[in-house]
Amino acid sequence: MKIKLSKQLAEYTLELDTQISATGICVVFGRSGAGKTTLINMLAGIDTPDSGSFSIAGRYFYHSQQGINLAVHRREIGYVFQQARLFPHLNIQANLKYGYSAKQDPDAVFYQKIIQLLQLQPLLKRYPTDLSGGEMQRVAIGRALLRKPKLLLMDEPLSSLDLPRKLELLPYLAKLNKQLQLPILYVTHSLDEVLFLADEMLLLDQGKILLQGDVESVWNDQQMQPWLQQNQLSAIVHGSISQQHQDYPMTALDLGAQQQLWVNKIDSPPGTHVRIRIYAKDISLTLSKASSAETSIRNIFDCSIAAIVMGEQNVKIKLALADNFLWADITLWAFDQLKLQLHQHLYAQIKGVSINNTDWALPQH
Amino acid sequence: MLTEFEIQAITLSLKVAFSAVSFSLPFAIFIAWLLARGNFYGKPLLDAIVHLPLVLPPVVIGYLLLIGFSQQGPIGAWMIEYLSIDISFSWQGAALASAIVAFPLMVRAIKLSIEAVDNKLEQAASTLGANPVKVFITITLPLIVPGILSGVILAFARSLGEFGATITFVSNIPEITRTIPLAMYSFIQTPGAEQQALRLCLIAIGIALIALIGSYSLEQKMRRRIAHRN
Repeated sequence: MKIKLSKQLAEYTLELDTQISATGICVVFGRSGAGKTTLINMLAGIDTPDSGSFSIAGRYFYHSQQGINLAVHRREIGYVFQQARLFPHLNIQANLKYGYSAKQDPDAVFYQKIIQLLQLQPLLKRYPTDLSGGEMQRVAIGRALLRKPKLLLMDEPLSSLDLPRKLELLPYLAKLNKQLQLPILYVTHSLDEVLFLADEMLLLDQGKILLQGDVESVWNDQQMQPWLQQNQLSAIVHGSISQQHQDYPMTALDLGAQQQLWVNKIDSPPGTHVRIRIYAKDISLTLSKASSAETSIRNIFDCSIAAIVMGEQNVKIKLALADNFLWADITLWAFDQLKLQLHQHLYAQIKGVSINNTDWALPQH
Repeated sequence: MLTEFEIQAITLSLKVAFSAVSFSLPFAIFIAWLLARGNFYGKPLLDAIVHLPLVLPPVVIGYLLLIGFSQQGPIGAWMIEYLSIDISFSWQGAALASAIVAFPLMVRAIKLSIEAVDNKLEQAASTLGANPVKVFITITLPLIVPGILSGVILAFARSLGEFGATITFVSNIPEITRTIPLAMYSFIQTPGAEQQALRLCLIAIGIALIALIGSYSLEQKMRRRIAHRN
């Protein structure tokens, strides 16, 4: 997918020039007003760019110089909006089949698959007004998928839902991408959704792409830090489950290079890949390693300093740990006393208890 | 119960009103859609022209029709020569006069209901591959049925009451153009026919009431069907 578009907006010019891989979920992250919705509206054909081009697999949907600008209904790009936008006069089945072509799906295999995947069977005969917000959004997703789009755009599909509904819908979204070979461009300003869903991530600010890449690298990049609020400064660590503790409800994660991280029990088989968010406030630094008999801290890692970001009161320290990174936030006072320097080796202590269920997510593959 | 004269007037009135409404409905929907969703040069002018019959004296409309559609008028002569249709001094002429006078009422009601349709639903339909015609037929049209209905009833009632334009354009010919209002006018002009005039007056009120009550309940039913709240 090649995107090279520009559009003058009220406060800035949206200028994008990038390539996005044609598989997996790419999350477009940014503050509200960063141009996220305008971006996907331009891809869908709802908004018209001032100039540029947009193509998927060599097929142009928009090309200002060649005068190509395909109408929305010809683009074969699915769109799940913030609000479900179900048609109130049609029942759920009719809503689902609105863009569906039975000819292209002779034995209704695909139809059944979507119904099953999103568990829509019990809703089919009902009408939109009888559905909860989460159910409506599930129908909207199913409706968009049944159109068999080449690309699915999702504009904060969870933002209108309360937390329980969000948690109800997230696993569906994760499954979706795993079971259907469909690239998804997912717009959000929620870090939790990024953590749970993203394969690739694109940080948008004032109409420009600041960062793009896999979630770990973008998240742990220095430029990302202003988006992770002060008390939320965190790093993403990936690893695989290596063992369960025999006596205590704890799970060990293998972070590579023989480093093991103990976290509260994750009920999944060994080898399962997990992605964990570790808050900077839960990390303390020490120059010498205490033995586990002398401290309550279970996780102590040998790290090296990869970056130092000086603040007015605090210092943010980026730590390299095997092929992962951590962020620590210490006071200027402590920083001066420890005489920390770039590339210096030291120990990071992580409070295992601070990692709870909302902090981990299973990556998609 | 009803005299033959009264039955004639009632049937003629209903025939004229039905024809006027069914003939102008497709145009009204199209114009309403243009005014609600269109974005073109000269939209205020179109809006003004559509609303003109609402504010012009009906006799002006009747006079204009007489000039244009009489046998010597430019349109009337053309229609006689090429279509072999002569609408002057006929019930079709009465229907045309009614249609024009009632047109703005119908357009207004439909336009309001189109404006009330959430444009986002139409947008969602187009992302599902529906072309503009399909979007209109499958999304917009079903959602504006209550508006169309109230527009139709309003126009129908206005047609039944049409007097000025009709009598100016097609005159007051018994059995051909003498609708209920025109028949009443004749009775009022005739000394000693006060009772007949009063009977027609009650009939007119009855027809109007039936139409209004019927439209109200039909509209409620339609709204429920669209919103599916029982």
